[in-house]
Amino acid sequence: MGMDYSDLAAASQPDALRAVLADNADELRTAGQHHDHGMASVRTVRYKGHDIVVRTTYEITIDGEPFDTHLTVDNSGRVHYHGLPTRDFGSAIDLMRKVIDQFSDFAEPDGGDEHQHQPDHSHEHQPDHGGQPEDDHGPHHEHGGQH
Amino acid sequence: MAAIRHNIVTDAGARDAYVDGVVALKNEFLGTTTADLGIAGPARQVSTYDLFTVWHQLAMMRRTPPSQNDRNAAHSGPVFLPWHRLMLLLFELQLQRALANDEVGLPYWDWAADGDLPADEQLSAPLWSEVGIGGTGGPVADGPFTPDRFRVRIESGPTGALRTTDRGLVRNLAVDVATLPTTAETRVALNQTSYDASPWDRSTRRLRNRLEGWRPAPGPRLHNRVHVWVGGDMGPATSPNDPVFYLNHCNVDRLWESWMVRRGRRYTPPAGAPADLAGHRLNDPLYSLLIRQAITPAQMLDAGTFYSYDRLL
Repeated sequence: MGMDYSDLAAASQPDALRAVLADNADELRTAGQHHDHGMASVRTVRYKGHDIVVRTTYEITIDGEPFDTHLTVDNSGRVHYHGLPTRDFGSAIDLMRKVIDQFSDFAEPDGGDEHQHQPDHSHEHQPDHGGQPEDDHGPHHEHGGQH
Repeated sequence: MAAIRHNIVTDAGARDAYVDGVVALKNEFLGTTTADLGIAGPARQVSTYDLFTVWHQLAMMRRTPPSQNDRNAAHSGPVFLPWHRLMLLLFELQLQRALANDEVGLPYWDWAADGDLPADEQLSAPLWSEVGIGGTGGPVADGPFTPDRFRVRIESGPTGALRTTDRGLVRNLAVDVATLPTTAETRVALNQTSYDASPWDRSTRRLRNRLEGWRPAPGPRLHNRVHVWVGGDMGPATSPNDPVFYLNHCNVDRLWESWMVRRGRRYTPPAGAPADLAGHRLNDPLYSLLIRQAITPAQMLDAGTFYSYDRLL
């Protein structure tokens, strides 16, 4: 693999780690910043000789306050958000319910409405897609609708 | 001597070494503070363990290239497997240093073995016991990572920015999905003949994307499903906050190794692929904050110098 054990072991010593952290100080300083400078999701597909382009942006508020981060939608219509990076959702509403469940920023001091804390199984049922799972060799569904 | 990576459920020595190493790295501070991370408020020391969490979060926020929304420097693209192999290798070297033992290997959690059990038995599997890594809760109240021994000090907020906290570890086992991936699903992934393919994102059905867990839809599958099944701190980009992160990824790495033993140490896209795949091509440097050497996916295809697994699938 072209790497020597002793080289990497040496790179893992405290002084070497301090040195590389100093090298990367500018990059590290961005960790506490808001990274998400949103852009539209652009979905493109060619169908019967026609080029279809679907551009999607979301404007979301929670209790009237802007939710200032970016949601994207892929060509199969699933909605993504880098704050919950191992999941996708059938709709932006399902995603925002999970955001409220996940982050303490939205915790309610009195325990809140019980309906807001139900398990989210939208990814299991995928209601926006008719509940039809994609089989291993099945077609890749395209959705042009705004979620 | 190369380390041997063992199953954490069946090897008590591997489990104990892992717990001891994690706790040691959680309590080691090399001088980096939260001010160095651009986090507002009083500066606090950042542990060696938490530096890996920061690295993972920053990789997640780095779109590759910036003009698209899918791939980042470590996920949703071809580099997913080699990038995490590098992260785990460097973490393993830190464990070895902390424990003064270069034979210590990261353990793996064979989650598909648990996924083959009935759903209620998955929750009571040995990993989540007192002699494993503790169970579910907010905070986790049993096992080796209770709040008195293990504090979460950095977390991601809703916008992706890091912030300070000081709390116990949170897990919500089986709340958002009821079951873990199964061995049968894993074998389907390993039957793929190619590593990855255009358009090199979440839509492809090749090995990388199946192991990552975006396909087949609807997900989550395999790796992604494990994150979602564990829940709590395994949800956001700071998921290495939970030590089970490394057990999950070590198993993913074991599965990748199993595939390469059968299919050859092959990787795509090649070095000459278009520039919009920069960061994911065979000879592109992997995004790293914790090592000076530029390390590429090509260098991650054979890790035999560093470690091997006691058992492949």
